[in-house]
Formats: sequence, structure tokens, C-alpha cells
Amino acid sequence: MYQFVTGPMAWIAFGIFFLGMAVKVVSLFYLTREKDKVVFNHFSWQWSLKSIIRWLIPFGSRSMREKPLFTIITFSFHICLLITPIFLLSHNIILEERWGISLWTLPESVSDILTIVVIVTVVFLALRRIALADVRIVTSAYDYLLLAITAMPFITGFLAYHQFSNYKFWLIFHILSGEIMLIAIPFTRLSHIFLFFMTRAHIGSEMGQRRGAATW
Amino acid sequence: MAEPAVNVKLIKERLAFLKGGRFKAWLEICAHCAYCSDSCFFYLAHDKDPKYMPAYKVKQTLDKLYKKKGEVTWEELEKMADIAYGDCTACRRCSLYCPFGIDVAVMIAAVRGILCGQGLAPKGLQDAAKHHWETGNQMAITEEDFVETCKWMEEESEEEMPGLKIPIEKKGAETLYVLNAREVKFYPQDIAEAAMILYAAGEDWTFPDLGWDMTNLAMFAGNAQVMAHSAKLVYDAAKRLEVKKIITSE
Amino acid sequence: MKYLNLILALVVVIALAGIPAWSQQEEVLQGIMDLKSKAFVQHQRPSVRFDHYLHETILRCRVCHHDFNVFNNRNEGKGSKCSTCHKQKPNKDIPVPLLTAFHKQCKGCHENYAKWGRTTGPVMCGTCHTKKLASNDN
Repeated sequence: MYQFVTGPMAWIAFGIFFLGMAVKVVSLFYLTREKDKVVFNHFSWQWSLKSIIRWLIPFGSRSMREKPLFTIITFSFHICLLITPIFLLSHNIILEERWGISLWTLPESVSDILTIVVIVTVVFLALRRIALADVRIVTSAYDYLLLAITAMPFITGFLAYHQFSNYKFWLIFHILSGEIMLIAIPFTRLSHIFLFFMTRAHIGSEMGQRRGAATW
Repeated sequence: MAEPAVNVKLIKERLAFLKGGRFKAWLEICAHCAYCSDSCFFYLAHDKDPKYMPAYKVKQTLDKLYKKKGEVTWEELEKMADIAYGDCTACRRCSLYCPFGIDVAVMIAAVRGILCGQGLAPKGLQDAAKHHWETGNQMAITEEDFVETCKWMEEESEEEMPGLKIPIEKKGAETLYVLNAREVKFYPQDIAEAAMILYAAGEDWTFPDLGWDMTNLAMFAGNAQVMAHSAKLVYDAAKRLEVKKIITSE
Repeated sequence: MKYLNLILALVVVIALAGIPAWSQQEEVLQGIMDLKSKAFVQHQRPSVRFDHYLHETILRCRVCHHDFNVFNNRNEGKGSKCSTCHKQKPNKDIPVPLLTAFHKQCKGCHENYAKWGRTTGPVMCGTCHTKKLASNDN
């Protein structure tokens, strides 16, 4: 089982992730060029970059400043979510073994804390969906499913790292859930990891280049 | 009273036509994070009633139409009309609050277009669009009435500003002046006052005899055909009279 | 009904208390060594318990001690440690760093055996770096 999930299954998952995202981005680009010409006639790199960078900085936009707690939570969630798997020691050791390349790695105690941050923030985000009326009204089971898909690799990874009861089960579950997340990205809302830059570039140009208005 | 039949085929056509890269991406990536709720003055003015938050309005209208592939009941369409025409002014403030920059107003406008095709636009807007299509202005003022109103105002301002003329359809003028049909119908003195300013400023200006109404209520209704027609009337007038600029009232 | 929660809580507490008790049941066997290289200063993961007896019965020394030569070796007839040559920071002569050397030696071989469809040792991180050893050693 371990051989399968780290071998063919990993190739399939990464293949679907990269290929799926490439197909998605390119097809959306061409579809936009065919149907939404309005996107391109005021496109501006300057406004696009401004709009993207402003929204990548914590408290860079007015809406972020209006909801400071949520902004802190969502930024720590996203930052830890990205950093932990990429700079995790064990992931990089496997990378080194397979391809002979390895990135700078985090100390294990730090990755442990980052993982806990991800899990705690996911719990917070789920509670927020229940607690706040304006979030609850737009929430459906799908939102919880996506939260679960995102949180699962971290929960199982945490349990596996601490060798909680059945280690082999948790590790294989961890690898599988990570692969499920990778496969899910091109087909679900998680694709915002790439589409964020496209839609932000559009609104930045739309509001900025066309009207001289800031979108933050 | 029996409910009118829903023209599902037309809705499907519109939905397929509208599904460009933007709508596809926007509808998919909306994270339902509710950053947008505080941007909406409907939401704030209704004491933070969640049903006025922008993402919910889209979820109840365009998202629902796509999810159901256009196969909706008349009752559902009526609810959508309440939201699209009643709960949103398409001010686009929410798109400034959205992390992904989702343009809710554009989607609401698209919904209006679909609803308009089913005859669900508010009656006032529908009538205005009809008038614009038929007479070239939203209040169905005839060309004769318009010319007469201008003449009358010319006479009215004789005492105050002798020599003032209100030119109509003067080819080769510098400026084209267009206004709201409401001014002609209810507040004709506005015409006189604008004419005085332009006269005092020494402008070489003119009214067109067709295409002098620069309002576009069909746009608010979502009627794309009349919307284009209304805008084109003004554009054609400017071309026809070879003016250099257009001044609009209001 | 009133005591149900209490009973449940008790059961959970007892169950949790049992986990360390189990993990302390350790047999100390000869020829089993804990791989704890001083070069790492502080180990990031629990140290690995390595059964040298098992391996020397099924493999030739040279498979792992690849510098080993009864007539001419670096360590006077005994096997060298990995850390004798491999250092934390790789250099021109020994380009494989210590950590990679350890991992390739154990896991690489285990993986190859698995690939050939033969009985093999553990390959998953936590199956070598087991937590229960750490509690004994540190």
C-alpha cells in the first residue's frame, strides 16, 4: 500500500494537479478572450500587480482591516498551509532520495507548531461558518467538505508524526489525503490558488485602469 | 391566476452565452468568506440581515440558474427579480471588498438580462425601454413636442438674455448637448438655464432632433437590445452633426 | 444516565494511561543498536533501533560497510561507522551527507527489496524512527 500511494498514486495526483491546473488556466484564458473581450481592453500590468500585492499583504485592503480577527486567522491559515508541506523535513528527505534535490527545511518543532496552527485555524473557520449569520447563509455542505479536504493532510500528518496509535494507518491516510487534496484543486474552488491571480488582475485593471479606482 | 410559462430555452441560451471565463471563475472560486457583507449598504441598512449580503444574492440568482441549468419555476424567477432589481443597485462596492475581486454587480446585471427576457423587469423600466425603442426617448415625447418646448424656452428667456437661441440639428456645431427626457417633460426651465450658460460661455452648440435623450433605463432593466439602441442614438447624432464633444446634463 | 459522562471520561483516562505502559515493555536484545550519531548533535526524530544481528546473517558486510576490506580498511578489521567518513556537510571527496547516507543505506535497500518482491524492512518514516525508543533513551 505504501509503495502504491508513494509511487503511481503520487504521480497520478501530481500529474492531475499540474496538468489540470494548466489546462484550466489556459482554457479560461482562451474562453475569456473569446467571450469576455472586455477583460483585455483595459488590461494593465501595473494595476494588476498593485491589486495582487495589496491583497497578499495582511491588512492590505480595507475589508481586511474591517475584520481584523478573521484576517489574522485566514492569513496564518494560508501561510502555514503553504509553508509547512513545502519546507517539511521528511518531505524534503523523500524529494532528495527520489530526485536528489532538496529545499531548505524547517526544524521539526517549528513544522509541528505550524501544523497545529493550520488545524486550529481550520476549526476556527468551521466555527465561524456556524456562528456568523452572514457566513452561515452562504455556507453549504460543500464548504465544509473543502475545509475537511484541506485540513485532513495536516490532521493525519500530525497524528502520524506523533505516532498516535496505528502509525502505518495514519501515514498512508496522510499521503492519500494529501493526494486527494492535490487532485481536488483543479476541479474545485481550491483552484483559487492560481485563479486568485487572474481574477485579481482583472478587477485591478477593471477598476484601476478604467476608472483610476483602487480595489483595496 | 395562472403563472406565466417560463421560457426555459431562452434562459438556457442566455446562460450559455454569458458563460465566459469571468463568470466561470467567479462562480467557482467564491469562498463564501463573507468579506463582502460589510460592503453592502443594503446589508448594513437592514441591520445586518444576512439575506442582503452580496454573495448570497448571487447564490440565489445566477448561481442557482447555472446549478439548475435554467430549469426554474416562475416563482423562483420572481424571487430572483426581487433580489436583482430590489436588493442590489449594482454599485460594485462589494467587488472592492472581495479577496478575489469578484464582480457581483456584473453578475446581477446578467441576471437582470435574463429576467428581462422573461418580462420580469419592473414595469416602469420596461415602459421606459419600450418608449426609447419606439420614439428615441424614454418618455415618448414626439419630435414636434421637443422642438416646441425648445422654442417656448427660447421665448421665455428672451427678456433675461436677449438674442439667445436654442439651436436644433445644427450641423458642424462644436458641442452636442443631450439631456434627460424628464427635463423636457417636467422641468423645461432646465433647458432654458442650460442654454443660458452655454450662450454666456459663447459655446457653439446644438441639440439633435433625434437622440437627445441620454438616459438609458434599458440598461437598468437589463434589456441589452434597447440599451445598445439608446446609446447608439446619441452616438449617431454626434456623428451626423459632426460635433467635437458631447455635453450631458445632470 | 447522570454518571454516563463520568464513566466515559474515566474509561478514556484509563485508556490513555495505558498507552505509555505498553510502550515501556521493551526487550533488550544483544546485537541491537540504537543509531545515534553524535554528529547530529540533536536528533530531529527519535533514534532508530537497528538489528545488526539480523542484517549480518542475511547480508555481506560490504553491502553496508562499503569501505570494508579485511586486509586493507580504514578501521583495522572492524566496520567503520557511517559518520567516520560521511559528514553533516558534504565535501568534495565524500559528496553524500551523513543524513542521506543513513537514509539511502537503510531505506534505499528496503525499497529495493520491496521492488524485487522480497521480504524487506520498514520504509515509512515512523516505522524506523519509533517514538517509544525515544522515551527510553532521552
